[in-house]
Amino acid sequence: MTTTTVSNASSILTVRDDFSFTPGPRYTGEGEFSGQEFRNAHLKPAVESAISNGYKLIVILDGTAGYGTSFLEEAFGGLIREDDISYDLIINSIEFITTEEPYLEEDVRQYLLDAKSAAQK
Amino acid sequence: MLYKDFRRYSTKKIQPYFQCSQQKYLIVKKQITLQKFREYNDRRSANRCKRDATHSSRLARRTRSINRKRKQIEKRVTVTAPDHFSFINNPDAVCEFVNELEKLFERQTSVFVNLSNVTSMDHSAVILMMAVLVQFKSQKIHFNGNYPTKSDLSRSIRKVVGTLYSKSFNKQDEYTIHVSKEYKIYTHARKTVDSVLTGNLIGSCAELIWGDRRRCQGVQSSLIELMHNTNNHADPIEHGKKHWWLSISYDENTNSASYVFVDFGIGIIESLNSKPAGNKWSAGWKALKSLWNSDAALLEKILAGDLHKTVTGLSFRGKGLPHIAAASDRNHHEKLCVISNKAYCNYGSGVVKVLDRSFSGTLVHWEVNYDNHNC
Repeated sequence: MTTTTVSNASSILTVRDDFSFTPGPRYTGEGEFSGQEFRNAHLKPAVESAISNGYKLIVILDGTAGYGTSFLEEAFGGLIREDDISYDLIINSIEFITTEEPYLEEDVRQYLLDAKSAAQK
Repeated sequence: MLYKDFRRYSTKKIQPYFQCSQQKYLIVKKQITLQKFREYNDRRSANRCKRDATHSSRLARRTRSINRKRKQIEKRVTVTAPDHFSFINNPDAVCEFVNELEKLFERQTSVFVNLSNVTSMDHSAVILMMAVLVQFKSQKIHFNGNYPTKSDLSRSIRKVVGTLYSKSFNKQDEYTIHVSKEYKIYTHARKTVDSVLTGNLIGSCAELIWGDRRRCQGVQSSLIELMHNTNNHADPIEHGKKHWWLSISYDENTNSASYVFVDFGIGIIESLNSKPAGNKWSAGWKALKSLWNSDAALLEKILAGDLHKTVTGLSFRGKGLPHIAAASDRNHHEKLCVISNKAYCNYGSGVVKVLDRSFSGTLVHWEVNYDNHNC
């Protein structure tokens, strides 16, 4: 895991620099740089650290070649579905920077909501 | 043994000795009767016998192979390509052509493709032919053909066709076909989701369009969705079994790149049909099918995002195809066209129709030009 602590109140996770310029599929078996790999190796530890230390985790989605929906869904939705981290904790501890593709933030928030409602069923 | 015989039968190893003089010949004669030289000669003789035997078996194998090819050529079937050889503009005729080739492939029959009547041909037809040809050749089924005779056809297309006939292919998971840098056509086939490859291809293509390497996120994400769909759904039983084919060609006249993605899986509509009976999704899908009553209408609904789930029935799946349409809406690419099974949806022009013949697979085409979004 490579996150940069900016101040006492926040740390930064940049997909391009900390993970890959070309994020790939959903699962590791489907190809390189999967959402599953990103979640397990980078996002989950960063989110858990942010929650336990009361930080804000800033996730920068800019700078990559482009995202498949499955990558983002598995990375963020998987936090609730696979890692049992509560929706409220995630929402309160993550901020997004997506200036190149502003709609990505909305998409990710929707994936988190979908995962929350699926987990409640 | 005489001196002259010595010279004739000598090996390179001992030759220098008796090339010099009669005196040295006598020394060598002495040496050759020694045990170690006898062993050497025996070994050499045995090796020569072995080599001759191998050669004759190789010769027999080669003869068998030539005879097999000759028989294949004698039995080959000629398939004539449609005059307007474009899957986007003439889907029914091209579909019939491809289905005919698929049937011959299943029967392991040799094929001769007649392109002499072709008056117009585009990139979508070329990649289809390419994918089919590789299927044939990788199974060692003879596949050949002639060239379009119309001189107004693009030189690049004629060049691709010519290159393909002459190439041989083995059965493998990945194919990369380089025609010539001059013609700027990049064709790759894979089974997994290869975002690194597509990222590089988009960068190279951007260099041609905008003059420097740029990112086209909408194009990259669309390609990831398509590769993902092929990997997950093209074969209903096993993931990652079918190849996807991506071909990108650059047109200098319009300064645009044409992207064609194709797989020969079961197709989008059939993939939804193949959901096991008794599943919640299966019942809902049947109801939707009866409501919209045609494959084309269903495909249009899928692209528009009205069908949110895919065959998995999971709420977090099924966003891929709507995402591709959304990328087109956001000006990341244009002239989006999707053909699968009996459904034809030209999202760019709004033409939606049911094909007479079903295409077993999925073909997606779009273009990227100077005005499209990039970073």
